[in-house]
Amino acid sequence: MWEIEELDVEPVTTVIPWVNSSKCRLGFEWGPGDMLFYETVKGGGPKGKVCPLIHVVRKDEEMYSPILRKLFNESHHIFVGLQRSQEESTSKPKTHQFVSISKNYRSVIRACIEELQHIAVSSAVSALTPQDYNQISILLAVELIWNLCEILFIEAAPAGTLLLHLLDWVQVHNAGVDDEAQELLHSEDPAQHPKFWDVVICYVLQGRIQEARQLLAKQATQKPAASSMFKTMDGLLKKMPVFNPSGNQTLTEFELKWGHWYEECNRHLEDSSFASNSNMETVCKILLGDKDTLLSQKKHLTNWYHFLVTRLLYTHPAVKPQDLQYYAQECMVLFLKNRIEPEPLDSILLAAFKFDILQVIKDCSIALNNWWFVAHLTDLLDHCKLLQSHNLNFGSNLREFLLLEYASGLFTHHSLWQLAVDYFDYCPEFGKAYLELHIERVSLDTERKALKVLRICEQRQMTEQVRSICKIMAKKSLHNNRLGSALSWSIRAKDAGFATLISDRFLEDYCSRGSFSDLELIDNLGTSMLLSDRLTFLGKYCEFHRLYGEKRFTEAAKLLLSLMTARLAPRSFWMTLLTDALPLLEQKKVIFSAEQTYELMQCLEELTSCSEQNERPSEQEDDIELTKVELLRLALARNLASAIVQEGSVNAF
Amino acid sequence: MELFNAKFVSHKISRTRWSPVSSTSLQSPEIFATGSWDNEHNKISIWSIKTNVGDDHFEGDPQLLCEYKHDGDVMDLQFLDQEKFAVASSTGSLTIYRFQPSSQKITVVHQWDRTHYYSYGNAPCTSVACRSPEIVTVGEDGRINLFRMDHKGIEHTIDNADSSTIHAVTFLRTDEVLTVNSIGQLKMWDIRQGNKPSQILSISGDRVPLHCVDRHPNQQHIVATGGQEGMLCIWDVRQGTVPCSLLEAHSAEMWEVHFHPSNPDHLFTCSEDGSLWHWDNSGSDNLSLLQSGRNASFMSRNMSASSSINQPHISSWLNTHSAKGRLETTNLLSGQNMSVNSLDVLGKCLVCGTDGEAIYVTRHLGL
Amino acid sequence: MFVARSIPADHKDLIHDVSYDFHGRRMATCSSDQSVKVWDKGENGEWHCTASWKTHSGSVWRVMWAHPEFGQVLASCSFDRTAAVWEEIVGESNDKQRGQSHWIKRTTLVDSRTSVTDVKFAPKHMGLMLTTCSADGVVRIYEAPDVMNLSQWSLQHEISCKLSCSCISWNPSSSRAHSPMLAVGSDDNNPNLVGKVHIYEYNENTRKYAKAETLSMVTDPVHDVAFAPNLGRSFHVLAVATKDVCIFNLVPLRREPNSTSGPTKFDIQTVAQFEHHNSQVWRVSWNITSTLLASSGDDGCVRLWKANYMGNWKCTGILKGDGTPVNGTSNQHGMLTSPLGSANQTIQGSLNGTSASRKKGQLIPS
Repeated sequence: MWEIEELDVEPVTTVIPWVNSSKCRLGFEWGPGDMLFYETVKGGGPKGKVCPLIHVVRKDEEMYSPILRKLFNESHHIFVGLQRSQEESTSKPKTHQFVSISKNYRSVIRACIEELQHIAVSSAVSALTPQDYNQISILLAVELIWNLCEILFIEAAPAGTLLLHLLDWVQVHNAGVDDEAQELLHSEDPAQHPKFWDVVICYVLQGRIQEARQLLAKQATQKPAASSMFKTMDGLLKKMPVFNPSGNQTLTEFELKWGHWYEECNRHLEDSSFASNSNMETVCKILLGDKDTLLSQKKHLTNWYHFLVTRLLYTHPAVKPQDLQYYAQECMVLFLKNRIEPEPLDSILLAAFKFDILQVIKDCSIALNNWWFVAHLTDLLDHCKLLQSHNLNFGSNLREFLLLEYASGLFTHHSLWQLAVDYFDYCPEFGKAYLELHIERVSLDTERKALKVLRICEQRQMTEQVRSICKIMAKKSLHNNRLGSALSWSIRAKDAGFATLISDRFLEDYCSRGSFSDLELIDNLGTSMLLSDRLTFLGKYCEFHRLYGEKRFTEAAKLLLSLMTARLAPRSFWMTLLTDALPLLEQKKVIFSAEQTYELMQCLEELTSCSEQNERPSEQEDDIELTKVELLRLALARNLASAIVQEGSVNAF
Repeated sequence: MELFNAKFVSHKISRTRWSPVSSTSLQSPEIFATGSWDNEHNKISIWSIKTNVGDDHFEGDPQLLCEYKHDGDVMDLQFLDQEKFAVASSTGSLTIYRFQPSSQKITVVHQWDRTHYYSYGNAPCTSVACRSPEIVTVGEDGRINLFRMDHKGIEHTIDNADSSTIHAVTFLRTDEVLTVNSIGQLKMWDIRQGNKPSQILSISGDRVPLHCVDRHPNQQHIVATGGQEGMLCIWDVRQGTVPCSLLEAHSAEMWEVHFHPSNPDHLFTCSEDGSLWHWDNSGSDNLSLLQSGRNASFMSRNMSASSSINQPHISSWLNTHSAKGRLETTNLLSGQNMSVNSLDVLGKCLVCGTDGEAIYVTRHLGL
Repeated sequence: MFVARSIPADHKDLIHDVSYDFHGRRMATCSSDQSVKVWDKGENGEWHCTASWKTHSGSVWRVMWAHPEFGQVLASCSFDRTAAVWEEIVGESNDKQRGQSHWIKRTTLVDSRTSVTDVKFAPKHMGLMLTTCSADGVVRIYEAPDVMNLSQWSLQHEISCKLSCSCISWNPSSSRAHSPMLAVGSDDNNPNLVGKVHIYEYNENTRKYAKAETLSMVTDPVHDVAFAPNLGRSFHVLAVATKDVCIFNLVPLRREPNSTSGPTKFDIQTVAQFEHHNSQVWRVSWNITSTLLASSGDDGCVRLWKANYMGNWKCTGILKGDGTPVNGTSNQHGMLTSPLGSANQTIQGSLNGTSASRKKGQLIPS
């Protein structure tokens, strides 16, 4: 579902099987990576003949191509590197840095193309699906466009250098001649090979003069009769001036020199120096950039932009960037004359030659089936400050729009979502909002995955998402009866209410079992104990048990009493606490002082008086409670007596 | 970065492990296994870095030998011997696979389903430790299971061993394992008897989750753990209940820590923050040169030397506080920001895997 | 787009609603057969029905998941004049063996005297709240004050809309700058030219919901309304399904300094209006980030709408049936055995034959 952003394109139709659209409505539901569709009729249809199906419709199949996943992962690396270098560097970035980044992107594309081609060659026919072949052609087109954009926009090559780059561009993307040349050179007699002249002409068309000369030399040795003609041609080719951007020759000097050479070629043609050999004459006419001769070589040129570059090479080698569009337009029309309408790739390249960056991006997003290319290219061009210079007030909006689309697409993938995070980070306007909406939908299948999602949110101070994820995990742990985990997650969520609830569960467990199942967990709470009063109580209560276990009775008694007097213990738990006091009261040594005993008695009275007001559960339980209270009263009274005696005797001394 | 060969593999890597090489030979490892996670269909893969058969791949570029579909995320992977390895799954199952080099095929030797579970549904099995023929697994359900390779049933189970998630397990010695959990505790267990830990260690007053644990190959009482905020802890399990040293390391979760099996002055850690660290402690001990020379002949993970020989070593990891200045750390994977989930080191070879769907391998580790 | 798999839903009557849970790992379906089914996605991406039970004594119109912070909770509404809340509980161990889960009814909301046409949970930052609307023209807002006890629900608000209600949508914005707000649509088809979409806003002072706006331009019956995620904007975006698909911006107007008590007034801007369905539109829904709007119409098509970087909306995708209805049981067997088989191949093939290759084919540098 790589949507198209212009108005003049027809929507894509998808057909769903076994659904009769004329008789029913199509229900739907958005999902994280897909959509669900089902047949339905509002208000109920005829019964009996239904067999409802739910159809899972996937969006972009290319996300699922393993080789494109390499493209996504590797280019993510380059993208992040570019954004960071821009953030860190204070000096104005240099053109060559952008060119090198652009080349990195292209080398990733080329690696993908090569891998796809490698699979195509090395394995059985069935290994590559038609989609894969489509993929190769799309990637080839993407690389071709990117390369041209790199030359024209990023490198912004000046006159002279410009054509050298364009020649490289044509050579790289029309490398078919190399295979033929190899075949030729490995044959018994290259000069007699039927494709000999095809290869020579291809070389000349691509401006590969050295290679053409080497081939022609083979022919020359076999035809001594025509040696002077070959010598003349070799001389012309050898003398052909090539602009040297690093040399000290000026462009004017070069053009002058080139003009002389051109005249010499023209003289030889008029002298009929090559009239005896039609192929040689063709080569000479190509050197003169003769329009009709070039057009007769369509099968070697294969496309109009090759025609354009060849024609410029032999007519305007010092072409200025701003003049490119006129030649491009003319060459396209000449080359494609019997075709009614140029195809998308033609229009995109033409727009590039016109330096209409916006049109290139627009056309690419329409024609290409993915956002990867436009998003990364636009981002790079934006870093080069090229979108602003074209007076597009929405320049950065366009960059952000495309990056958001690309990253959202990644988020619909069950595995690639992690890559998308960095793209959202570099979208200043809506990136954070998008990330917030997407990240909370990532399913938390394991704790390890939850921790990864949490890390992303915490690093970006997305506090609400952090809380929500922890809460979901706490809820899930509780559902699975994992109290320790549930408590840890609610502490991380800072969810006091939930921590209280889990503390109650721990206390319930204690009441039913008579011991704590996870003493060391609660002992390990540290300051997180303070999250909720109930949790604090739980922690302190465990501490009481530890003190008691260590026979530190006085401290234990003090703590126990304070749990009630400070109102930290829930009322429902007071009876348990008082019962815990019983063995301390019955120790031989007096542990609770008289004052403490009074306080304990007060607690007991408070508890019994308020429970009288409430309804009693059952007779039997009631009896047990009553016995407990009686026992406590007795123990308290005894302890009070001994305490008073002891305290009195101490005071007497 | 140049040290490493990067290979993009089109799935996120959760575990990388070298197939062990025999302790008598000095050959370097050539085969490793990887496991994937978070994919719609996960898998385990076997790779070779052997350089032969004159194809066009440059030296060290891992070649895929074979792969096998795996249900659920691969949570952990450990070799039992040169061919068999145990895999822990997020579905709660434990599977023993065998890779046969001759046929280059992976087969399932045995699978225990739902060894980790809740009252409704399965619980992820988070980690597995092997000491052939015994295997121990731990999970989010807080359970510890003991298996024997040659027995179909479960030998022993400690239900509710921990009320928190157990993140990792490793053998300390026969019958004794160490676990780390999500509230920062390091526990020692006798897996044959009882259902309570024999010892609990923790960073006092702190509940920072621990994610990984490894013990020193020669001194069994020295244990390294890594946790939530990227902290590296060195513990002496013989004494005290708190770590001997706490070392600031990564800026996010430390997913794995490994002592170098034959050169334990060196330690390696990897993290969610996308870094892979080499900790070189050899400078802190003037005897270490002699030591590492002596240890170089031991290649096996489980080989232990007599403690008296290695006595001088104890100080080197346990006194890292004082020796801080001489403990050198290097990030081996700079400029890479996707989580490094796993690493394994053997001889001069190191392999690690990332969420950026890449495997990094080096055969020229500087030790 | 392509059909990845087709799942036999096994309902004995028409499906009225299918709902994904928050993470997309579970789905719930409801049907005229009075039942709700819950489906879980397995490790291999296959869907397994893990629960199926009779929920109502009439057609079940809608089913919706609560946010997972509240646990595994579903709400359903029905022709039988009730809405119900369901919670999954930990079952017996033998259920685990059968792969079945237990859902128990926590409450039945019986306040409506007519068919309950829609049920929606409020955004999670408001707590656990459930809203229903019914043909008798009343919107009811219930709250579970104790999120751990889902059997206690109190009716907090009753809003009388006077017109038969068909649909409700909460504004998802959790910004403090925005009061809780919901849109209510009416399918009343009297030819009186009354606005059929009402916006209600919560007033902190009166603690009541009050009508903030009526979308007077929408006079035809409304079948669905949907607020878009807010994305931190100051204004709200609402999609309406009526005789066409409409998208409105609701821009809050600056308050008069001395009128703090009244509801917010909005400037309502029509952003887009599409008649492509050529018929009644009965469902509209946004994707997660509201970059795409889907609509379903009586023409049997689902259309996808998208805005470009200039904010212009257009149709970018159409989904429709292939015109071969399932007839009887003879066909069913074949589908069950090959839900992904040959049929799917032809669909993909035809896709490539039409749209895909049209675009891609031209890009091949020949």
